[in-house]
Amino acid sequence: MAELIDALPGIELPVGEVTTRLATMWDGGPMSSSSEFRASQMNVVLHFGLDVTAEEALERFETVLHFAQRYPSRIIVLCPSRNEGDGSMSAKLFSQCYIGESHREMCCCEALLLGYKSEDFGYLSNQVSVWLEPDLPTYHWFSGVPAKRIESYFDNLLIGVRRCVYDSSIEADDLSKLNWPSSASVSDLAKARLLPVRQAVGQFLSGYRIENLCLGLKRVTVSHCSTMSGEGQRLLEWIQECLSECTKCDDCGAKKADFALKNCDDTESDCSLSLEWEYDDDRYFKWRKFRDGSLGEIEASLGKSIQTIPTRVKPLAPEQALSEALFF
Amino acid sequence: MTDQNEEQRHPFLKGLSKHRGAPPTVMVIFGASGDLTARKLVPAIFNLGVDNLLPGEFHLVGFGRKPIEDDSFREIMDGAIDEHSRRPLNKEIWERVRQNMVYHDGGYDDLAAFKSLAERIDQIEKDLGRDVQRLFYISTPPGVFQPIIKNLGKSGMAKAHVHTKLASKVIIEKPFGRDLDSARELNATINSVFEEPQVYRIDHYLGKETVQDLLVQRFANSIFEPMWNREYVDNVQITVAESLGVGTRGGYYDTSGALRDMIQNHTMQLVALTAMEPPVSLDPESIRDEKVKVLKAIQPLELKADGGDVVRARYTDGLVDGQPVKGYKEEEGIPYESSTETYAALKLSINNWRWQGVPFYIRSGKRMARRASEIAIQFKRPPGILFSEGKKFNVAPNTMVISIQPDEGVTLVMNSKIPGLETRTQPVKMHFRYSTTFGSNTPEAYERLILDAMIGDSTLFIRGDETEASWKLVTPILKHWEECGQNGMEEYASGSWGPLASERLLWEKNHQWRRSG
Repeated sequence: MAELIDALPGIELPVGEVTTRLATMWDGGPMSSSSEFRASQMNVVLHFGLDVTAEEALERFETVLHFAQRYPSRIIVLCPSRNEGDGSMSAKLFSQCYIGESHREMCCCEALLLGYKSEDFGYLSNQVSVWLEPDLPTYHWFSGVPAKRIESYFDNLLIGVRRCVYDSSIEADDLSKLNWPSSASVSDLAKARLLPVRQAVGQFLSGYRIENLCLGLKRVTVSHCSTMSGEGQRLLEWIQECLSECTKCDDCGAKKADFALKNCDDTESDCSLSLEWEYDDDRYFKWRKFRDGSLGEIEASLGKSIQTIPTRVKPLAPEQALSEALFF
Repeated sequence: MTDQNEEQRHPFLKGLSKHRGAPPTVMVIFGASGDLTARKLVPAIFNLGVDNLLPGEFHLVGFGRKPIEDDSFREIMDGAIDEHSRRPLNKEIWERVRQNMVYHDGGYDDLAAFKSLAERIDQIEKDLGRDVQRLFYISTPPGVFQPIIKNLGKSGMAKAHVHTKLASKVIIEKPFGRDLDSARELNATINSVFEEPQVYRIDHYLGKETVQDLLVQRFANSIFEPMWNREYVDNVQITVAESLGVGTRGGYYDTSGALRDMIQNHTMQLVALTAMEPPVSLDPESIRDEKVKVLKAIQPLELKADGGDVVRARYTDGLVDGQPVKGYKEEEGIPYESSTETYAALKLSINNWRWQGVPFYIRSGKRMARRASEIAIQFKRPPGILFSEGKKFNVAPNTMVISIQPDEGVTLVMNSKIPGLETRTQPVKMHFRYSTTFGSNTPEAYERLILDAMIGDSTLFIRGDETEASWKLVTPILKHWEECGQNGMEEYASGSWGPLASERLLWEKNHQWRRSG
């Protein structure tokens, strides 16, 4: 079976040469001044699990490269190997310059891809530390790495890491349940992708007093298609968290209401993610995101009249979601 | 600039950046058929829409004297976005604003037109079934500022939802008066109708990334702040240079001049941000308090027809970008007897503990060698014991240059050894360029400022007492020049860096203007 590192672009080199090559790779002759455009702001470690497919790995690698066009980064990609071997690591080096609309926007970054024996994580932290850019923050993106394995990195690889991210719509394990050293420095890409939804729904609902939104609330239902299970879960949690801030009504609907999550793949509905609030009178609030395109719709009767408002919920590009998850 | 009110925010807005929670708004632009609306305001609104930063309920009303049909107004604005937006027109996004966009014609002194505007907004509010914020943008010639403000008061629109977060707000474009008396009069009129927290005096320079970054550079980096004082700083040079002439605005410009048009507002704001003390917090009032304090600490200038702390000049013909251009007096709309300056340079002394003895040189002009706005902090030279041997050691003063336009960024000039067996030195530059580091598609100043006003953050706007402090410094110069007539008016060739007299201004202290850019 082909190794994951082989599926990713880059030039193979002996691990012993990585340090020298990284140090000199932007030293051009007098005609070349690429080094001027290389100004790393951070380290991003993309960490794959054994079960990640070549296509998935390539897709996520490209996301990090696009991210680095906006936030120039030293990228380190960790690819576990199935080969037993003697435990030696393998390495590849990849570099890219993004030109932009003018040479003034040009920026360059490099990615170091490391193949390592999947069981041998004891030395991984030491090895990775050699190639991280010093004095700059480090971010760690886990993709397909089992929860147990991540826990074993808490005391080594993840020390000093500013933020860890994962995607709950993809991960098999519920990583939110892990006993992370600092829960504030963990982010879910699914939650990050909800930003346009939180913005559209939040802006609308903030026009109403929270007490009025809670009063008589019977049921809140979030429906999602199967590829958006993480988004569905996080949307429901967000709604619950916001409604729980109603302090003036100890006995109000928000405390008694049912909060439900359901998969809508079986239904004929056009929506991929939706939200519905039911009240004990004729009030209601509905929001849905259409399966195709970047449009959604709010339909509500919370005040004097029924309102139907188109909302723009253009999905964040993967690299935008990554920056949202890393920085906010 | 601060999220300290996070606790008080609506639960459904918590965790979102403050800029993502603008309340339902009806924005009215006075001067809707004008140049600024087409070039800056409507493209800014479109880009806010692209970034999903406009409130869910956003209505735009163009108000102008010229009768225009709603559909024509929408088409004109479509064209404006096409031509001036930093991002291409996306019809799907724009349609959401477009369908809520109307034009309301009427005179600025016609109370009936304002009353019918008020009714129109009331009807929008009624149809929505919710309260909305009224945001008035006065983008007209200054002559009609006062009638507009008075009619906003008389029609009741200024007081809508006052003392709530949906209180009406008014954004006013410069100039805020022509001198101290007129600025005070304008402020008095504004404050008779609006309360100060409702007023947003705009200076688009404050919306630029590097200008905002100035506070971060100063107060978030411990290596600079300890040196930001008379012990280490030799002089400060602020340049706001344009390569363009007055173009078709000659008639207006001749009633204004460089001192009123650039120095009194943009340049003095840069002085204030560069020289102010650390504010106690990042809330708008703390920052503006410090800006006012430092403006008040600037000493009255020595005014003489020849010499003194001020130089004025006008451009003559010359070469700009390799092309011959005509002098100011040959420009369209300039009267032969004009005594308006197109260039002004000032030597300021700030009489406080931090800056006593450090000259702040500021200059602004049209038809200069290139377009460049920057703040240069020139540090004192180290003792010349080690590297003083003239030809061998080329030791430059350490200089921190904060570039505002055309390229936003920061450059630090340091001295370094030239590689080789002998010890020779040479100044080297360390560059930080916004576009390289963060990408170039950053928001335009107007996007940030309109959104800030919409969410009620006045940090990047000018308070009434700031304008008055600035006019207090500048008005005596204007009076002095009026008395002098042509006497003392210098000339400089188009495409140069200004008159020789401006260089002399710095010679007294053995300084010289750095070549900007």
